[in-house]
Amino acid sequence: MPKSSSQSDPAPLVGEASRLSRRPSPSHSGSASKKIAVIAWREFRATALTRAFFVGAVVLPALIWGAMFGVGAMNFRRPPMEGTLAVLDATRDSVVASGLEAHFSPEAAAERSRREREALERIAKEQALQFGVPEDEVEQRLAMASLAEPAPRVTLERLPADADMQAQRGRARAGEVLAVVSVTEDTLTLVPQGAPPPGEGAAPDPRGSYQFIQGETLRPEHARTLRRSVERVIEDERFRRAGMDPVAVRAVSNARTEADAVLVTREGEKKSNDALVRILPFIFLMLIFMGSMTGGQYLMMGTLEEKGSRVMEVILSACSVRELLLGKLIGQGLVGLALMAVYAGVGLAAARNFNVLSQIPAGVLPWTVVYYLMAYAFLGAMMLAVGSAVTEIREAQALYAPIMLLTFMPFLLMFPLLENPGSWIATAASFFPPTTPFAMVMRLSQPSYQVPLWELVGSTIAGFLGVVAMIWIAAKVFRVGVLMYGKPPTLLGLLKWIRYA
Amino acid sequence: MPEGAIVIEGVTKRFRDKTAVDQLDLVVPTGSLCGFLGPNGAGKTTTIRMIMAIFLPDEGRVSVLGRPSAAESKDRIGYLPEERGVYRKMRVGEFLSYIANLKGLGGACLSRKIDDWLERVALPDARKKRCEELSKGMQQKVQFLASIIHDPELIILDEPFSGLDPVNARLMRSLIEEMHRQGRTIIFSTHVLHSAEQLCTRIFMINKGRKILDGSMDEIRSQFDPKTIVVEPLSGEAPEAVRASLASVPGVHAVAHAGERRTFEARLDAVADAGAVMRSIVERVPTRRVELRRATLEDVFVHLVDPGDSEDVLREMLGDPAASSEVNADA
Repeated sequence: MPKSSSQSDPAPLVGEASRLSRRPSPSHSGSASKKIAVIAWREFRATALTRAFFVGAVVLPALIWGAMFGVGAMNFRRPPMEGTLAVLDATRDSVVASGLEAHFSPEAAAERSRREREALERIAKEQALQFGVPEDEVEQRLAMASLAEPAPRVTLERLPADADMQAQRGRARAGEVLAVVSVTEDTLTLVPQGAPPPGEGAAPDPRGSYQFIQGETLRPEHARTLRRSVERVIEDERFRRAGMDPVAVRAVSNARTEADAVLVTREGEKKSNDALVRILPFIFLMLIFMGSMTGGQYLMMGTLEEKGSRVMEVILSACSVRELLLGKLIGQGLVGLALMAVYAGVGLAAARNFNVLSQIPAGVLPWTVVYYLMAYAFLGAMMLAVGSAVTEIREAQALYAPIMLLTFMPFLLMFPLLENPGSWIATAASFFPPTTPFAMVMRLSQPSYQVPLWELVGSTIAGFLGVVAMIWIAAKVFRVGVLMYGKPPTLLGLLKWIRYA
Repeated sequence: MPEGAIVIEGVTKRFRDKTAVDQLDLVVPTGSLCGFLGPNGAGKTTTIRMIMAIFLPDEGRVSVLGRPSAAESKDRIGYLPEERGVYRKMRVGEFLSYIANLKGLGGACLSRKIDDWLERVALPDARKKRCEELSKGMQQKVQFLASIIHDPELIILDEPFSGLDPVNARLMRSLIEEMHRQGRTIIFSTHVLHSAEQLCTRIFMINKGRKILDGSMDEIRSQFDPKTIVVEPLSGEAPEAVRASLASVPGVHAVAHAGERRTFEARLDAVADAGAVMRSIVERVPTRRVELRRATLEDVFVHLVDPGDSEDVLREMLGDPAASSEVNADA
């Protein structure tokens, strides 16, 4: 007769924790560490050495990357734009229509695509020099780029001043013309600086605007190209009226201005202006975030499973609560570490391939492991406590809220910390144990910034003190929770467990 | 004084306002096979968890295998908890070797040992199967193996028979008996009184956290001797004549006859010699059967536990078809 000893009220077990078995006598510490190792190894094996983990950790990300590149490649295959652009030009001398005619003339189009190709080649060669991109890859990229923007073949149709706009709309809708553009003298007028915006319900200010009527069949990128062209012609005319040479103006405003930034530190000079370097903090943040969340999730689910399948007491007949807790923490910590190693290895291999390995500050890597351990131990201990306190995954939702909050914080901190890694927010986040590892890894991986030594040491100590406190709290909840079935505790109830324990 | 395998002295355990175990004293002699009985909620599982140092008592002391806490000798104890399970995705062989490793057992002999044991509990092909593929009864046997795979000196089984069919219940009994013969100390809690009666050399019974019975099976039998002789006369005898004959036997105090049944019960005087009375009955009444009724644990249980305390338990133990099917398996 299976007898249920479910505890419908969590209260009776409160006070249990202090009475649960404590550490074994010193003479048994050897066997204790062996038991912890056995538990850790099982946790690792049952999680990391499975097909599900391989699929989740390796195959799935590969598929996502593949899909992203696939979509990117598909984007390159754009059909060329062919058709008629109807223009109703009410400006003096119909300057806009004439400008557009010149713009879309075959000679101008050929000249434009030649210039674009030159620019692309220059960029590709620069990249090849800087990052060591192989020659054939440069060719490939150029080929792709020329596919990307086939020269449009657009003929211009000038509409008479008294054209029936309703009929023209019908043509646009039916796709007979690419679009219908209507410009007036107002379009060329400059809206004075500081002019108040038209009030609610008032007619829109005609100054500076033109009409662009298109049907549904016009592809969005073609619409963009057409509008860009129209606007360019309008701007050129405005430059001319202001007595400027549009070609000269564009040449000046398109000229390259770039800082050759150098950071001077005690260790020497570092280059600090590469795009890769700018996203490094984010990469390192994601690395430890992903590692610690993965390990933590597995901890929660594993503990829930052990409770749900009632295997918990069987295990506790062979080891103490403390050995089980530490064994699980260590085992899943290794899982997260393995995952991080896979991703970091792929990342480093890619960096080596693109000759940017030297841009990654080598000193950050060991710190990444340290901060991963810190982040994981903190999150993992919380997850372990939640997993042990409830019986079903649904019940975990309510208790999961504080963990969610915690996992959002690094992302809230990201922008202020990237903006100014030396701000008081950065320092505060570094000394607040739940965010210490995330904040510090983001600050350390910015080559243009040097974390003060006292902050590095102090915040690391603070972080690990926080970890010790969290494990201590989690152990109390774990001790009470593991053998308790029935109604899940509230967050307040959990705090009571800690107090009683 | 010989130290018992388990010595419990003045142990009290409270869960906030409820006292689960109250001033319990208990000695489990080394090498004994003890049944641990009591109605639901009597405190059996709580007591066992205190023995296992999963709970620690509020008052009193527990010593296990000569040490102040089972935590120090978990590798020498086999424990089958009441709340038991397996890792569903783990293979049976892996599960058993994991538990064995945790208990300090390893090496090449472990693998052979697991095979031997699986063979013995009639699960020879289970080793490579995932635990979730097994039926509940099969899982029970795997859990039992997990608790004894490391050859413990002390074996504690909480409800070992629950969920087992008659064949497997019998297998479990024979394994328990065998381990007892090997000199191990065994204590098990059960609701199946018949099994306890057949197996145990010693019985403890608790109710409402207090011990109400503690002794060897023989002591308990003599203590609760009903002093009743059951007589079944040959067919054709007039009931009134049989009743009169029985009443005239010296030493018989009263005769009861249950209407539809064919049997009579002759209650004896406190000082009567049962053997002499039986001989006299055989001389005076033509009988098919004469039998000195022995105290069954069921009688003792009913005598000791106020039905008001645990009506559900009585129902469960006396009238429940599932429970009686397990009892019948003994026949």
